[in-house]
Amino acid sequence: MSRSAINAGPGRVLVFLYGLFAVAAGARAGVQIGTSFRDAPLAYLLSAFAALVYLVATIGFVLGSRAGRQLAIGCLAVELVGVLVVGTLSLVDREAFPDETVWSVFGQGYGFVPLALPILGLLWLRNTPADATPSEASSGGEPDQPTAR
Amino acid sequence: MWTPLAISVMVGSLGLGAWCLASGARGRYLNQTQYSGLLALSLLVLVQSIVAAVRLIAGERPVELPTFVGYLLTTALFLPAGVSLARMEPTRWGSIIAGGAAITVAVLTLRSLQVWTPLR
Repeated sequence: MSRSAINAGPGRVLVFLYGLFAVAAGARAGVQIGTSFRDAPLAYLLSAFAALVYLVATIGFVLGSRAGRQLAIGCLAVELVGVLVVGTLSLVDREAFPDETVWSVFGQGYGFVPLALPILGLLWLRNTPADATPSEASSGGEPDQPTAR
Repeated sequence: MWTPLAISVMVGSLGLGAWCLASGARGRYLNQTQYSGLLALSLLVLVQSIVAAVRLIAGERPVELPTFVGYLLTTALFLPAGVSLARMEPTRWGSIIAGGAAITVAVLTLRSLQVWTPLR
């Protein structure tokens, strides 16, 4: 198995959560854009964008390769900025966000998981070896045993 | 939707989900009972989806049809997908994935019920 560390153990929980949010945000965007796009085009396009970011992050985690890792890091950074900016704007300027998106009020509608997810994800990626080919991972690059937490 | 079945699914998935999460927290993977329970729950969800599909075909219309269909498809596929992923990870993290999937099914079922029932 060429499985590297980022998609095993706690990483597989991240795969699950990112997959879940890709589906949740994607379905929401699909319904919103399909039924009432004119009501709040900005919010709905934002939902679609968030769904895309979650989807690409999921793919990055599943791949688990060096490129997948880079992909995941990029997506998580975009996501963190997105949830912070949209979260703040949705509080400051409610007019601009007449309808909810996954990132509104820092993801309140989803139990603030959208805010926690990129932070946990980036912390996890920081704890895994950057080049996690199995041979190198066994030569001391193995992440700390997750049972510690 | 058939409300008694929906309530059974919600109660069952919350209980089973909490149990799986507890196993994960104690560092254990799913046992056979939990695994069988997840399969039984998947079947109940499937039955619920079939009931809802039949009622839709028969002409009943939920308050928000597109949203409802979205929930219907997601709910039916969610637990099998989550359990498959959990099986790829036979550690405490697999239990956490299964528990998370079961609790998500409870939420999805509640939301389905909300968009199905006409507001009075």
